[in-house]
Amino acid sequence: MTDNHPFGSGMFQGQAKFVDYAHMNQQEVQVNTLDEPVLDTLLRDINMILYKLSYVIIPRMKETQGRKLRNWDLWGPLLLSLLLAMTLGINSNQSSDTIFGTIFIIMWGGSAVITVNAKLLGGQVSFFQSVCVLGYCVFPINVAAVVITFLQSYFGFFLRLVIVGVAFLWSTFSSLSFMSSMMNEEKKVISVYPIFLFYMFLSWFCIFI
Amino acid sequence: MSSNGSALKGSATPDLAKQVLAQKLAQQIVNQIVSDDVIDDKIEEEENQNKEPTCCQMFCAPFTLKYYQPFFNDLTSKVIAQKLWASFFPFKATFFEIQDGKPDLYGPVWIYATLVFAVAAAGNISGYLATPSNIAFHYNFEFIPTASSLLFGIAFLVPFAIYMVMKMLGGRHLHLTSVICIYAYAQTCIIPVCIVCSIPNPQLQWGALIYGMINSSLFLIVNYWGELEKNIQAKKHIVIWLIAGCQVVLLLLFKMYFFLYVYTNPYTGSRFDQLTKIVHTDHSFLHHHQQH
Repeated sequence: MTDNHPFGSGMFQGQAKFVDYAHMNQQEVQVNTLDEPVLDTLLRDINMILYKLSYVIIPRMKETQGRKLRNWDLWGPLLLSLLLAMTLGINSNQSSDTIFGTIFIIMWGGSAVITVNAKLLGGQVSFFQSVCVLGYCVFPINVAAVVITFLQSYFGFFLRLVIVGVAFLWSTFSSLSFMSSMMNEEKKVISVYPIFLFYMFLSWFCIFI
Repeated sequence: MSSNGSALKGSATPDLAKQVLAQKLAQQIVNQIVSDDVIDDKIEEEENQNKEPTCCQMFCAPFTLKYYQPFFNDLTSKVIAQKLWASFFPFKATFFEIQDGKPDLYGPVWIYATLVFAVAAAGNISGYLATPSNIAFHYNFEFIPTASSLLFGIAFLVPFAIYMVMKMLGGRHLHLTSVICIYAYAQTCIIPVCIVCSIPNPQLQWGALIYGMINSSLFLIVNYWGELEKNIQAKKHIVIWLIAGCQVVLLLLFKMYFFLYVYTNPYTGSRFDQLTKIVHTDHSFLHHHQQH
């Protein structure tokens, strides 16, 4: 945990622990931070989420740079999935409960199935890391959904298609750099196709709000 | 221990002989210790294997990942691409050669997932294009849960039925996973059929669906022909009708639920007509009708 810290573990051992936002051990957090103001806790979590989102916004094709995403957390995917489900549900008056449920299930169930698929095909991927990455990479689709919702009257169908298409490609490339580095050369296509289908499914909802 | 005598006979000095003997004894002691350990481990392993799996282990096995690992070993993109390609050419019975005794569960899961997406999307597109411009179109989100239940349901039930019928009629060398696998690859041709059916022309839709029916049934029957001929000669018609019947029912369900809404109003014309500028908004039809 103190890998990147310039002061070695010897100097501060037993006195203070280096607080690394992206790499928090849960038990230590509870011991140290039980008395801190709630705002501090929230800000720390929000910082963590924004830190990871910056990795999604700028897709890093090299595997070494995607390493920070391995410190998984599920707050980000939860917030993003809720935001997406609510945005899409607001617009369609009739079946907003079906949409909410469908998006939630597709996102979480889909992430789980893709991760299991990658593991079974022999990838050295941890379950929650993969769910975390797939969840965070939904962010561009979220942005597209929000943009389309609020600027609906200005957009014709083709402009909507273009925006959602760009968001879909962005999401797919963001998660590709993480996922495809795990797999063998000969299994790359079959492990990438499910991710492609997953984001296509989610993007499709955005076109037809 | 019998080699010590021969060593002692040929040696010149007794000291050298003792040394050699000591070395040999030491070596044998070490061997004994090592093989004891190895034997202990082996005995433990055998005991574990001979123990009958507990009831809990037997029932919980399908919920572990390890249970499904054999179906994903040695799976490459190339093999799957070959199988998908083979499913579009039902007259050649090459599927089991390509599969080579290793059925995979990758195909079933992702072919049906793609099909759910294709059917839901195409059904909505054909509904959208078929409504006239003055009627607002509401995207039907119910298609997705319905399509998933239907497709993932038949993914297991129909192969199970085929497997049971073939086993009862005397089929051999059948494995349930293999039947699930080939049934899924038989449905691959329905994906392009759905894309074609997104155009709301009823003749086109029926034509595409009939092609889908014929292609998928033929694929299954031709690939199972060897098995049918050898082991089930007399009653192979039962299996053939079962397979064809299931495909017909499936595709009728598609037409009646997903692609039902084909709106042919000659006056206003649907959005599709306006897109392709086919509709003629003269009212000669109306006058013609009124004269008779």
